[in-house]
Amino acid sequence: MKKTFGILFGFFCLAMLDSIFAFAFPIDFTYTKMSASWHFYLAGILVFVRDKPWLNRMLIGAFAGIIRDLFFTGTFPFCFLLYPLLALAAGVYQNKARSMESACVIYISLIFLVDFIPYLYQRMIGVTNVSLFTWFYHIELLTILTSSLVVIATIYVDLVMDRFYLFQSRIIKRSQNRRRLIDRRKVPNTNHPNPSV
Amino acid sequence: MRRLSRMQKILISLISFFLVLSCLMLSLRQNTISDLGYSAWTYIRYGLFESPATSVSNALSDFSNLWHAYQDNVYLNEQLANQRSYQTLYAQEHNRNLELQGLLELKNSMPDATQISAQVLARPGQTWNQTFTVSAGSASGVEEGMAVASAYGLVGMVSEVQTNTSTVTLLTSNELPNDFAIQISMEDGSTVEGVFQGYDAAVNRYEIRLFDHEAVVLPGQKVATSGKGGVYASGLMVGTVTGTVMNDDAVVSTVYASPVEDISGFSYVNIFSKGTPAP
Repeated sequence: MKKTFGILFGFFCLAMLDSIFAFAFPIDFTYTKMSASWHFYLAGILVFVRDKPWLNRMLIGAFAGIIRDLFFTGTFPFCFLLYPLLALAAGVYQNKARSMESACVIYISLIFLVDFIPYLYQRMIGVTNVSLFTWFYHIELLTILTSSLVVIATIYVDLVMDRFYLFQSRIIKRSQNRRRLIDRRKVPNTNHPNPSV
Repeated sequence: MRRLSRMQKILISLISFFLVLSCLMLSLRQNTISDLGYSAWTYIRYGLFESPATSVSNALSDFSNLWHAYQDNVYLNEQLANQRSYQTLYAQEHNRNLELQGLLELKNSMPDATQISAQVLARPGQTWNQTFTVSAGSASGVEEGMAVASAYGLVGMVSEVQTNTSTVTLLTSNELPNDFAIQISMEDGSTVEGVFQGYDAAVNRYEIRLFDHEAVVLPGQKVATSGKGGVYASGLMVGTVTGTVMNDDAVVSTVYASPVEDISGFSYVNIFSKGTPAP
């Protein structure tokens, strides 16, 4: 399977998972039961861009955001503006956050911000009067737990895929090297005094 | 300035394309393409996931409702079964209430009479028409020979007395300790005197012998105690005349009377002491 196609298909599946889980387990805005908001797609973006240059991160974030806005949520230009910033932030500490644990903490913090900033905005303008503890306990706690699992799973899948494509490229390289050796043997060396050697 | 890589150029092109398209659609207030794309994914999502999930959810919900309906059905069936027993209990209590009310009226109709209220404790099947036991004895002032009446009238006489219970011999038994005087009320207001002789089990009727053999006794007339002799209170209903037997001289020899209505099933009685004055 080609790498590009695999990546695009993977993100498509993550976006569909977001939709399916949001349909099956919707957020309870009456704050009577615990619920979660699902960030499979965002977690995939953050993990994918973590080791890329800053421009690539922003471009990939912007592209992923506009695709999500147009085809999955219809919220243009919200994700188109937000996702590049999140993708940029995901790789800011990549030089310092070499360990997977610190990287996971950064991604989970960014996912928390994605939920916290809208809540804060709504509190400020008076749209909602729900207390911070109530919001955190009923919605964000489960979101953080599920997002942690999603981030860990996504990182694992990313590592597996990296190794897979690395092995694949090595195998391709070896087979190419063998072909070159075989080709050299077939072509006679005209410089040698005895061509049959 | 560093040159852009191939991937960066492709991303910038795609972003520009979609951005221009979105801004155009937004400015023209037409979301056709956005809706198309959004609708396509929506249909896919709906067809592959949401519709089956909704169907499964509805099926589970229907099953749950069916299960609840089944449990409600079982509960209601139990309640219905209990309801029948409640109806029986209600009927029993209602009859008991009527009986006690009748006894109370009897008591109130004879305020000067000394009456002891008692409950029927036992009435064995083998001696159903012979004797029964009541819950009053010598401690309550019961003595042998006292008249015992239910809500509808006289049913027997006390034959044995213990401390807290007494045995009563029914009028339908042929082992009454004493005969007693009776009177039959005529239509013109007069009365015909007689004496209670016994019970004819063959015809299920009391036998009464009149003192006045020429009296014209008709069926339906009431037979009550006369109180003559001062042993029993007068006016206690004994039965209803059902027929007479003439002898060869066309003289009434025997009057037959049916017992009171509840002679076969009473639970509470009043015991009238001897010497109870007439009302």
